[in-house]
Order: sequence, then C-alpha cells, then structure tokens
Amino acid sequence: MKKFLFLFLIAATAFSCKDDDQPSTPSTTVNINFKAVYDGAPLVLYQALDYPGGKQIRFQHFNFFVSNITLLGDGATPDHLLSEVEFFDFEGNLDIAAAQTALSRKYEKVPLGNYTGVQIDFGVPASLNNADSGKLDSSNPLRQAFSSHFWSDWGSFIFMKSEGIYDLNGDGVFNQSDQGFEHHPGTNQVLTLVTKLKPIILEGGVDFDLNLKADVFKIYVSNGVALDLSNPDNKDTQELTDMPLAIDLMSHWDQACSIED
Amino acid sequence: MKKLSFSLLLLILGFAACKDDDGGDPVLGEDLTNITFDPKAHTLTIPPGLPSMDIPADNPLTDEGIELGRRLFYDPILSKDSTISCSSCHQLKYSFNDISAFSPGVGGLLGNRSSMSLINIGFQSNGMFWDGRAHSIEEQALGPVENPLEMAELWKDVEVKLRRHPDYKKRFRQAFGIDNTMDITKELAVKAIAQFERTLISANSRYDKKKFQLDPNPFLLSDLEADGQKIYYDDQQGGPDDPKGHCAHCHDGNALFTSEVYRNNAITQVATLNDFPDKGLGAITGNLTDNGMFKSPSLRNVVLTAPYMHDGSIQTLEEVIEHYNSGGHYADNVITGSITQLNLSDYDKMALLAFLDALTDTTYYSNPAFQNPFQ
Repeated sequence: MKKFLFLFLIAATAFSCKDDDQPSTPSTTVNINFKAVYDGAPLVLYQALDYPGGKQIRFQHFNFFVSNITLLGDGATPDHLLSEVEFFDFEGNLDIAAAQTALSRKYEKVPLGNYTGVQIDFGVPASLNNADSGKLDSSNPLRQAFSSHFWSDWGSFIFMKSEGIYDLNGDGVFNQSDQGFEHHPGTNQVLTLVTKLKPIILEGGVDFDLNLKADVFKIYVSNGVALDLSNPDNKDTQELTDMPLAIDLMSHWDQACSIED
Repeated sequence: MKKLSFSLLLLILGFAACKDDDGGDPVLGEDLTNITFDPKAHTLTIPPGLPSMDIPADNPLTDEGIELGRRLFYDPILSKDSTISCSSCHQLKYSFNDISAFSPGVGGLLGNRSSMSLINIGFQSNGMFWDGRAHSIEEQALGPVENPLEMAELWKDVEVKLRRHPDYKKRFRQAFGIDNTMDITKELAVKAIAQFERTLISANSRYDKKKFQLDPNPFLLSDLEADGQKIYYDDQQGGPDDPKGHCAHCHDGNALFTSEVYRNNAITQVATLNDFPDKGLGAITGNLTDNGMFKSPSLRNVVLTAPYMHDGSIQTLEEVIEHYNSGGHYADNVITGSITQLNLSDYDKMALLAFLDALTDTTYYSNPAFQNPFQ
C-alpha cells in the first residue's frame, strides 16, 4: 500500500510539474480601438456634414462587421489571428465626446514579436455567412447581430449599415423632400480584404493599442469622385441588382480604414 | 377539568389545522423537504431558421418549472383583486396578444401601450417591452405585477399568497428544490414564467413549410403571396421597377420576422423630437434622437394581433400597409431610406397582405401545451 502511495505521489508531482515546465510563449495584450470619422473628424450621428458638391449629409446609423483580424508576422514572427469576427456599431456617437471615444476589443496572450501590419476582412467570411451563424453562442457577434443584420432573402449577413439623409434640395434643412439612403451591402461577393502595413512591435510588459479609423467619407468619396446621392438608384443596396454599388462602396474600405499614428 | 382539557385540545388542533391551511407559520414557513425534488430537464426543439436561444445558466428549463410557469401565467393570483393574469393581455387565441389598443388592468384602468405578442420571445436578445427597458424575460415578468395599470399588486403580497397556496408550494419545491415555503420568492416566480415563455415557439406557417422545405407541397404559397414576399424583401429580380415594401428592414431576423431594432415608424406627427407624447426608447436612454422609437415586433401571426403599433392606433393590416405606403410623418430620426413613399399599387398592397397572412401558424395557438391549465 505504501508503495502505491509513493508511486501516486511521484506521478502527481510529475503531472503538476508538467505545466510549470512547459515554456510559455511570451505574450501581451493587444487592444483594437476603432473610431468612426468623417473626413478625418469624429463622426457624430445626426450632425449635418459637408458633402462634395456643396450640399450636406447626415448619418443616423453606421456599423460594420470585420473578420479574420490578423497581425502579419515578419517571417521570424508568425501571423497571429486576433479575432474571427467582430461587430462595431457606432450608435452611441451622438455627441463629440462619444465620437472621440473608440470602440475597443481586447485580445490577450498575443505572442510578442515583430509584426508588419494588420489584415482585416470587412464583412463576414463565407464560412460563417449563413443562417447557421444564428445558432452560435450568444456571446458571438454574429448571434448578437443576427436579428438586425441577417437578410434572409439573400441568406447573408448585411456587412455594413450606413444610413442617413442627403440634403437633396440644398436648403440646409433635412426633411422628407430630401433623399434618405440606406446602404446595406452584403453577400460573399462584397467581402473586402484590407491590409494595412505598419510596424507593430509587441514587447513584454506593455499592452499594445492598435488604433484604427473608419472614415465613412472615404467610403462615399473615392479618388475625388463622390457617390451621387441625388440619384435615386443610389439610395440603397438591398437588392442583388444593386450589387455594383454594394461592391463599389465596400471596395472603398481599403482607403477608408487606416491605422492612426 | 376534562372539559377544559378537551376544549384546549380542540383549540390547539384547530389552530394547528388553520396553520396548515394558511401555509404554515408566516415567519418560519413550512418545511417542504418531504416532497420529492427530481426535476426533468426539458430540451427545446428549435425549428429551422430560428437562432439559438440564450437560456440563463441559473434558470435551466425543466418540465416542472415550465408547468409552474404556465400556471402562474394563467393565474390571476398575481393581481391585487384576482382578476388579471398575464394571459389577460396575452391571450393564446390572439397569438398571446389581445385585441385592445390599451389592455384593461385591475379596476378597468387602461394601460398606455398596446400589449406585445409573446411569439418566439425566448429568441429575442435586444430588450423586452416596446421601449426595451427589460433585458431578459425574467426582468420583464417582474414589471406587470406592481404596475398600477396592470396587476396593481405588491410582490411581497404575491409571495405570501403563493406560500400559502397548497398547490403552488408543492410545485415550487418540485421545480426549484426549495426546502421551505419562505423560499418562494418573486425571483423564482418570474423564473418559472420565463421558462414557460421560452417554450412559446412558432415556426410552422405555410411560409416556413416552403422556405425551410418542411412540406414538399409546391403550392404552399399562391402567386399573390409569392409576389407579396418579393415586395416584403425588396426583391427586384423582375427588374428595377419592381415595388419595394422595405418591410424586412425592421422585420427580418430570418425566421423571427423581427430585426429587433428600435425605430420611429412615422406614425406620430410631431414638430420636434421633444414633442412625442410617448418617448419610447428615448425615455429609457435619455437620448433625444431615440424619442418616438419603439421596438419592431415580430410579424408572425400578425393577422391575429390587431390593433397595431405601440399605441394600438391602427385597426387593420390594410391600414398599416397604407400608412407605410404613404411614408408617414417625417421626424428627424425617421430612416427615410425605407420609411418613404412606396408607391405600391392596389395589387402590391393585396400581395403584401396575402404574404403576411402566410405567416400564420395555426398550430401555435392550438398547441395544448400553451393552453390554460385551469380550464
């Protein structure tokens, strides 16, 4: 009996040492902080903003999914997936103080090393872009936004909602004689991969803040050309025949997303 | 002496007997540990198209909990004068709604909003009530008991009534394993009601049968209904001139038929956002731009739930469609991308109405598991 007890103690000691002995990868915490801006200034919803052509625009909702957020390794440091999918909704941007505050996500145990930048898919990856994502755990952003963002007629999530009103008659007053818009691009065709290169050096002992900006102005204005919001054909993207506009808007994420200095 | 002793004995026996009827000592309660506690886990079958249901870890579904909840739901014991139960405003035959603009509470006092359907309430994850002020079914169920316009009762008095009730004390023990009647609380009562409400699942309309291929019959939806479906979802596969109803912007969520969003649906004409007689979400958040916003309800079984809107101001579905066709009343927080003049033809409106009718699940309101156990 004593022998058994001795063997048990040895085994127990060996197992308890195993975890301690395993070299743990040095890591730190990375925070992704996303701000919504309009032409560089914090985006305040319901605030009149200048739109190219001399008229004004006002946003009421702005939100989007991002997925496969990956830190790109420099070769010596491998790539590191921070998150499979996230949802950023700027519904709280109702005054300048709120709009200056970023929406943050925290990722722990990110291996230290030298990274060259970040890669982000704007939208929901094809593997998750279906009704089954509604069955995910309630903590998953896809389940949380399932009711509001799953468009069953497409069988796809809406990847981005940008809603507001354009001062069509230019009288400086927003009302029903103006042009409301509701841009809701979705489906696998509009998933947009964005790569932002900038050295990201993760060192021990300090959290790293990756500060990102989403400039909604640059979604609507590309290479100096603004989307013609006076054209009723451009007021929404809800139908598959609106796909060229949906693709166009989503493709602008490459310029609309940037890493803050 | 014998007479005195006999009288004393009778008095003591009589007192003891009264004690039992009253549910035990009002302070010490009554021991319940002689009642078997062996709850059976209840597994919900989630139909295709519906999302996962978030069931709180501290309130798992059991057969006993659901049955207790069903009884509490239908029992006017929750109200001050035993006239009003949850089912007074949430009647099964109307898809757990009623047909009043404002439901009468104790003493006939009228509430200030129309009751909401409980259909598929367990799947909802973005607030309860028209203004979203409750964050779970448990929290929601706490409200009506003490609302003076509804049950007008105090929870502490409900607890006393339940502790004294010979059947409920047994059922609380069987559902939650409490040892003593004093452990019967409002928290357990609303947990039981929430368990029952999480079973109120509906996904067996003709639309479901077609969409999720539950029935091979190719004629489940008529051409008129199918056209209505296209209008509902802004489907323009027939060409860019096809009509758009913009309905699904607020009433999608796949098989839920609610996007669980809070919107101003342009039914109230106001000069400014400060002028809404009922501020809805704005009264909860304090945000001016949330004034006049209310939660988009599920349109399942919508043909049974007239009158419509948070204030019950629209009597028929035809009028609802006409309201949205007109574009309604502009205010600064209306999403004019979809709440705008739709220019639907008479045929379009008829098709939309027909599609809404196809969302009716007759098996829901005839489900014996949902019916009043006291009848």
